[in-house]
Amino acid sequence: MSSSWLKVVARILLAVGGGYFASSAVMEIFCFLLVALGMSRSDAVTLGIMLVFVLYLCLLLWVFAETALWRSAAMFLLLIVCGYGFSSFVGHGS
Amino acid sequence: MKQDFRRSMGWLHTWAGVVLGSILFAIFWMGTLSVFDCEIDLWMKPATRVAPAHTLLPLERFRSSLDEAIAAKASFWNVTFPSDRDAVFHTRYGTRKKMISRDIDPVTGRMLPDSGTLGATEFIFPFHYTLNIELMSLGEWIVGLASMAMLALCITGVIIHRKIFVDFFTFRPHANPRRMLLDLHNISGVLGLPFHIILTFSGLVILGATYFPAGVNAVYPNTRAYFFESNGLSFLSVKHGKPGAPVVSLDEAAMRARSLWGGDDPHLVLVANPGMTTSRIAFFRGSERQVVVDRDVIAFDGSTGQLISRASRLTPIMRAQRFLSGLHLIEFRQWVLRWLYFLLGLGSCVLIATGFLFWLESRRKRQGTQIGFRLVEGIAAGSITGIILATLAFFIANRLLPAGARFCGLERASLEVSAFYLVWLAACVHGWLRPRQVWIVQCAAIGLLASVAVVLNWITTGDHPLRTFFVRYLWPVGGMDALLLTGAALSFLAALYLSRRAGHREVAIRSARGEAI
Repeated sequence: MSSSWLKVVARILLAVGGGYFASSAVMEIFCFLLVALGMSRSDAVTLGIMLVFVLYLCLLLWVFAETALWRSAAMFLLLIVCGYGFSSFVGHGS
Repeated sequence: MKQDFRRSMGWLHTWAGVVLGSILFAIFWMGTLSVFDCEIDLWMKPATRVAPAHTLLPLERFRSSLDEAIAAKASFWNVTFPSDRDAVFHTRYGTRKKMISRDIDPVTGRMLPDSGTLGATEFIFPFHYTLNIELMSLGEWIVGLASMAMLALCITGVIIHRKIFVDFFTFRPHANPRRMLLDLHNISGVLGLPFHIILTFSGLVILGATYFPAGVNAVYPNTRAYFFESNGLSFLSVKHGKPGAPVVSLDEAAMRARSLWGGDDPHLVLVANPGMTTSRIAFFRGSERQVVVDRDVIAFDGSTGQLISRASRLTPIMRAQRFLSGLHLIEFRQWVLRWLYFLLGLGSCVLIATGFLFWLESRRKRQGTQIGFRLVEGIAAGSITGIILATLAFFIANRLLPAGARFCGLERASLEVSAFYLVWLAACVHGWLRPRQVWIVQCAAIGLLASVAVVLNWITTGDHPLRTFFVRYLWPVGGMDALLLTGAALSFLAALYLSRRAGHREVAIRSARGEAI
């Protein structure tokens, strides 16, 4: 009983927290790339804001549908590491 | 996580709904009321019930208020122009310590007496997206989480549905209560699905830069820079300057702004850093005639009157974003659509409430005595009928408290808000202590309080429903009274229906016991 509860809590945390930081990471790379490709800053960020909620929603639902929790955990970790690596590489607020 | 996809989605739907349902109900209830925020303001601030003026007052009539702001070293001063829904001018200025707002008569230009209330625009509307929790903008984040849950609930609700088309036409009011609740949940959910999704999504997008600062941080030095750039407010990022510079004629600047807009009227004029050498006069265009919120801000130098900047034309992406926020904020002038928003908003409230009740009804027999069930039972009543009662208490306190009332160091406006919270708390406790009768009693109480609010409005202002019906500018007051009376009638009917059903159930239980003996 207690281990199944622990699993549920882990899943919720992974979905809400992990999903959030993974979407943030993707958004960061997305906005930076768009600006690098020549889109204006405000357009890139606004487009990012409109799309990131859809991504976050998909990630949320995916975690709850996935049978193996480690798969989504690994994916999120990969995305977050990419995002942080990217931002430390190119720097903030160019 | 369950054996198959549909079952995991069902699990998510159930638990996200039960855990965040009460917050969602509060958000949707306050949002639905905010559709008529100006009208509720008119009801709560009787001093502003004045006939609209035929001609607009010149801005120089507000010069004394501006001088007052300069003397108080305000960081900004602004005037909101009257609109179709709000007949009076509002002046506002903010110093480091506080914000001072006043209502101005549109004909004489004189200050109207202070109503001592936050009204709908300053309590109900902010509650809709902050839950009135200002600590570290925790409220906004809770609303964001609940909104994401709402989107997830909409999607999972569709997934777990087997017969979505049939449910359009299925309502069995005479079936058992559980069946009826589910039908009601399905109808309000399926018919209102586009509304639920679009309003939730656009609400998230409006506060998007708060919820996902990652994108802004990637390309901007700070969030302010993005906000200024995307709203054409870059003229605001100036040094504080030196004092002692007078502000040029506001009317001349207004005339130039009007001609640049091709004759459109401003909705708001702002003076930033009033009295400083770096002061700015900015005009914000009203967006009553279109869904897209396009303020098209025009800024002048406050001490020389020179044109400084005009917002650049909206790019397609910005226009898409402004269309979404326009859909949510309903600043456009269209009465039929406004009523439709109100009705659909009530539909969302029904959706959330019936979801809650269905959860309770389907578990009552098996888990009726468990602590978790009892907890949800108490919270459900407190958060559905409880918040409605609390809102009515807010209205009644507004009519009962004398002008300038003070109690325990709280001013009149805070006392009204306290009445709201006290009644809400009492309703939750009541739901916890008396789960059997809570719905009957609270429905009857809603009916009673709503009728009392109408009578109090009549006694304290003399604007009874018959009078308001015949005076055009009092229609919003009459409309609110009419809605309160309709709500009262419906709640009395609901209370009657529920008490009859409870009576039947008791008879059935008694006869079953009799047979067993």
